[in-house]
Amino acid sequence: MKDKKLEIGINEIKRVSMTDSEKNDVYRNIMSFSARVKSVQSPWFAFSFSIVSSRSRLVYYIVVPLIIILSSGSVVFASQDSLPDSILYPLKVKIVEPIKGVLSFSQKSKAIHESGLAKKRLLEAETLAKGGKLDVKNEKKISTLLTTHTISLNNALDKVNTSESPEVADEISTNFRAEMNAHAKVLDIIIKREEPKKDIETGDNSKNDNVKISNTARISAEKIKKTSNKIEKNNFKKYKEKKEEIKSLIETTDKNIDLNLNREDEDEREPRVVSNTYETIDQAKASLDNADIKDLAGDLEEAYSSLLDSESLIKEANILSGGKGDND
Amino acid sequence: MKVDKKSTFEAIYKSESNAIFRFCLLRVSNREQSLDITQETFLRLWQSLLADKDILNSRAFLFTVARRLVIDWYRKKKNLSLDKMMLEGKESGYDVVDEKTTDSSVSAQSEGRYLIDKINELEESYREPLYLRFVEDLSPPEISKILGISANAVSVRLNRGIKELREISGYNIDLN
Repeated sequence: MKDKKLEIGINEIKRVSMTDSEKNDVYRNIMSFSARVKSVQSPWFAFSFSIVSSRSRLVYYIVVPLIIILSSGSVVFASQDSLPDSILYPLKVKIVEPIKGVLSFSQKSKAIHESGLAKKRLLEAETLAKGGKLDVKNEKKISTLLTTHTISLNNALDKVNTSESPEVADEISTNFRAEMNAHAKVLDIIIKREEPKKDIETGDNSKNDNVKISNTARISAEKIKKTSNKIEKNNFKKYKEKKEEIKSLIETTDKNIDLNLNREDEDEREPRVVSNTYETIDQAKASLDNADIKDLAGDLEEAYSSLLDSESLIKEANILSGGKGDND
Repeated sequence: MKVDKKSTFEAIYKSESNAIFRFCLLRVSNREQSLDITQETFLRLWQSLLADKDILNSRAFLFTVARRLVIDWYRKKKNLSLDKMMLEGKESGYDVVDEKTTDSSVSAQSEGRYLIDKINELEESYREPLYLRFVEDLSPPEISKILGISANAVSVRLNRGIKELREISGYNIDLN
């Protein structure tokens, strides 16, 4: 309830108002002002995506794929370590890796890229085998990819021969052979080790002789070996230099092998890998001796081929003994 | 479509223009300036209608805009920074109407003049809720939208303001 005087006061205040002419003036001003002045446009309007893309289709074709690429970056990143049993694996092997290959400009880097991918496939097979997940389906998948990488490497090596030098091609070739043979041995060892566990778990006593991937790896190494360069007749200088290089490599490996194989952090090293390493070094030495014999017999071409065998074998021994990431 | 908007605007202008003008005049104590602020307030309403913005409560919208424009006007006039105004607590309350300008600008008669004076004597946070409630008949939820506080806080301020007004004015008012 309000006081009477308060009521009067309120009514008196309420009577404070505009005159009719003031009211009309204000109304007229509002209407004329809004007719004259358009609403203020944002300074960023010109940069609006829809405006820019409507003016230039080129922007549309660049910006949209860029947005898609950036937003899919995390998926691509996640696919990096995926294995053949993962849903991201096709993205990795069919899109990400080929794109990286396309971005390799020189033939040398293309060859190294393909060689690296082949090694990656074998590492994936080793990881799956360790987890008992290397089934026939995954084996086929990896074997097919391995063959594809070998063909691409072969093509790239042909071009390296002409665009770079035969020495560079030989270097990549022996590295590839070493990687393939070393990882094929490791894979065989892992599969044999995992086999009894699998039999116990599944109750399946039948022997699994399906070691397709290691076979494919060895075949790949052989294929690349066949395309290796032949030494020019009477190029004794090149032969001697190569021989000295391999001799030195064998000596260094021989010197460090015991140290590498008995590292404290490698106490669980597979004994079969150790014996394989020593065997491989012996084979490298034998190949070097063989090269000498062929050289004495006057067959420089065959001697050089044996030198490359020796080089490949000693690199293989190094991978088996030292490369922590390679074996594990 | 625009005709509909125009007729809506006209209806609102007809019913609310005096209240907005009055609200501005009591704050700025200058008739010309009050007309300018009133015009600007309604211009913003008209632009909002043209932009198809949803205005659920046009009264609350108009008082909110007018209140902000008055605050802006004080900022410019007194050349005070917002920080200083906040420190002085002038941001949300009524500014005391200057006696010298009030007489010629606000044409309320003796009781009206007395009531304005007493409202201006109230604690700052009670002035606006009390004015909007008693003079403009706005509900606590509407006042809460204009002042940007909760309806409960408005009710509390109204209760305390009435109590204080009763004490300083001698009016016999109760809350209902």
